[in-house]
Amino acid sequence: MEEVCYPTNQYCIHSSHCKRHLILRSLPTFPTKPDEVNALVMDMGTTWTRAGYAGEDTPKAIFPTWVGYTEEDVEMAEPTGPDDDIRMADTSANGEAGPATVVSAPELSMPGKRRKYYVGDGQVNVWRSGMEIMNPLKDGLGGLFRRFSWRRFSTITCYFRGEPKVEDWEAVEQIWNYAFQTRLRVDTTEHPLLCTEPAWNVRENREKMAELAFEKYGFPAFYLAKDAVMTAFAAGRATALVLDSGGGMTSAVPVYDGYVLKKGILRQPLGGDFISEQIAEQFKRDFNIIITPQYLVEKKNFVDVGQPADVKLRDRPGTTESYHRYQQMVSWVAVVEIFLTETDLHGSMELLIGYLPSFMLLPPCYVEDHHILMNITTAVAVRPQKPFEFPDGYNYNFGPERYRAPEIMFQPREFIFKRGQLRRRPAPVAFQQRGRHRWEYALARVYRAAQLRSAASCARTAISNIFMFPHFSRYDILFTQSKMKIHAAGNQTERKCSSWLGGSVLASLGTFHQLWVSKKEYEENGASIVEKKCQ
Amino acid sequence: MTDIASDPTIAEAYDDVRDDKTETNWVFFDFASGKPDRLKVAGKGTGGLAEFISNLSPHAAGWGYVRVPMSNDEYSQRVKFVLVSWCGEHVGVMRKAKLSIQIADVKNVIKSYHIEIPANDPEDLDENDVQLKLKKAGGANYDR
Repeated sequence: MEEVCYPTNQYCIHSSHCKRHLILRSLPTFPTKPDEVNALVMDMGTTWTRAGYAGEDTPKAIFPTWVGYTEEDVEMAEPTGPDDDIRMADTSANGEAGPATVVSAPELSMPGKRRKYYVGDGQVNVWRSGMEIMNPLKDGLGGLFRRFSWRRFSTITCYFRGEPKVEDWEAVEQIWNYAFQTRLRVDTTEHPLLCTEPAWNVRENREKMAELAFEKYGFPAFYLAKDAVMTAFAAGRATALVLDSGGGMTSAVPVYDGYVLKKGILRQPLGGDFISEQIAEQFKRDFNIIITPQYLVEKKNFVDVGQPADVKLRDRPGTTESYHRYQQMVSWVAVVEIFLTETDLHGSMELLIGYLPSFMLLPPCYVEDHHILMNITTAVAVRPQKPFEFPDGYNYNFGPERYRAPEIMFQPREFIFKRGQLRRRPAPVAFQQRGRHRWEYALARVYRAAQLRSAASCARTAISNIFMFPHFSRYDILFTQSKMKIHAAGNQTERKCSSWLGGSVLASLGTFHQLWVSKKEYEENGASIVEKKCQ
Repeated sequence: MTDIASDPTIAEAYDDVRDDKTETNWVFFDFASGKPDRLKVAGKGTGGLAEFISNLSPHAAGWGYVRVPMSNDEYSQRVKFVLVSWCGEHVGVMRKAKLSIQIADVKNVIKSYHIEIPANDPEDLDENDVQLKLKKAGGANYDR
């Protein structure tokens, strides 16, 4: 009897000792027929969460992975009955405008207080007095790494994304609530759930997610798929080097035949959020302005180009620091959007192609001061300027300044404005270099290094496709130098949701139904079954 | 799940290309218009890689099987077979994503090939690149 292997469905030559065969031999007792099952796919990223039905080509719900909460007093500290636990949001036509889902979490709030949560674009961005904002995938990083001094880091063993503290699971739960109850409005006991996870996720998180899915929401089946593998599938390949430059992190993950090569993973926290911060620094340094977030502006008056803003600020008492930071970040991102429009980058990448052989060694695009590649510098300088107006009315025409911030991706040392700030963040890349504690790696070196590391363990000819799956960078280039081709989907939505899309395709396959972890298996074997089955 | 390559003409076309007595040296399988999960023979011919490439369109997704002559020197003439996974640039997302899974069924019919080339653009199938890949896959090479 021929046995086929997940995920490529090909005949596996390893027969009895192959782990994949062991998995396939134990068929779970799944009640419904494969064709009728409509699975849910949830892809939670650092900045955006995508959720929807399997088999569709876009997620139904895309919202920021930020949860706002206020604490309010309750008169009596009554124990909450089962009916109070989760109250469905108002079934209004626009799901986002409904009231917040209320979940009492007595163990987290102070006695006598109750937390009210706000998730989703329309909820989190509204100003409320005393509202704190948290992100389950960002908090808990600083605390974990402040213990380590830089000198002790000669080898890299740490994971730093996806390590929420115990309290942060509350935020994860709120996001799931919002996705399944408010946006998708499904009965979670009727649909299997496919969740994506980062390639370097730790066992505790996996088990915790399984626990959340089975016990809290009662999903009949659950699976955790690596987001890099999903991206490769979405692009039509089972073997690829997936480059993900997202909000929180840039990573290069080699995928071979549907499996992640863990040793070849490289990542660093030089992502969109960091570039946003750097742009804020650039403004402070070069233009001497601090960007005012939208929520503080009450009235602005028209000013000429380059003149300081003439604005009346709102009085917003009770604004929490976390809310202010979040809004600042949002306003930086708005600036960044205007800095990196597709058409311009496409043009600058054309210049890049002329310098192919040196791409990996020399940075592609010197913006100022450097005499090498002069014609690129001048080409950038003659590009048309883009006007931009800030929320407080200050406006300016931006020319070459626009290219400085994204250059951080390619030449971190030259272009980072405030290095001190970076030092406080956990930074080491999973890249062993004896005796050197380098913590900033240019994007090119990340690709190159990941490529070399992964090529060592499998045939070089296999790794000939590189896919960029960024949320932030928008480079649309095709290289054929040294058989390395970079694919980036032209369509922005496709690129941002590519891991969700891969999950959607996978969950809708007939042959995949053998691989779900069913509720019965979870109850029999415990949470460790996820570690075993979801490789 | 039904096998997408269950059409008998596909197997026939595959044998045709492999057969030394016939001139056919390329064949392309595309999705049938009425049935998105079935492959059908979309074209075959005798013009070699060049004709095969001219037949590819950015709206099509499918697989091609091409017979490529290769020789390391003027005395030895060998024939190699290339499986091309073609996904045009304007193909929709779901179709593109399913390709990586469906290829397994295709490989059940197209059982032997020397190399597999995923291609999105005619440039990916440049004659020199294909020859180089074949050479690398061909085992020991004492010429260099």
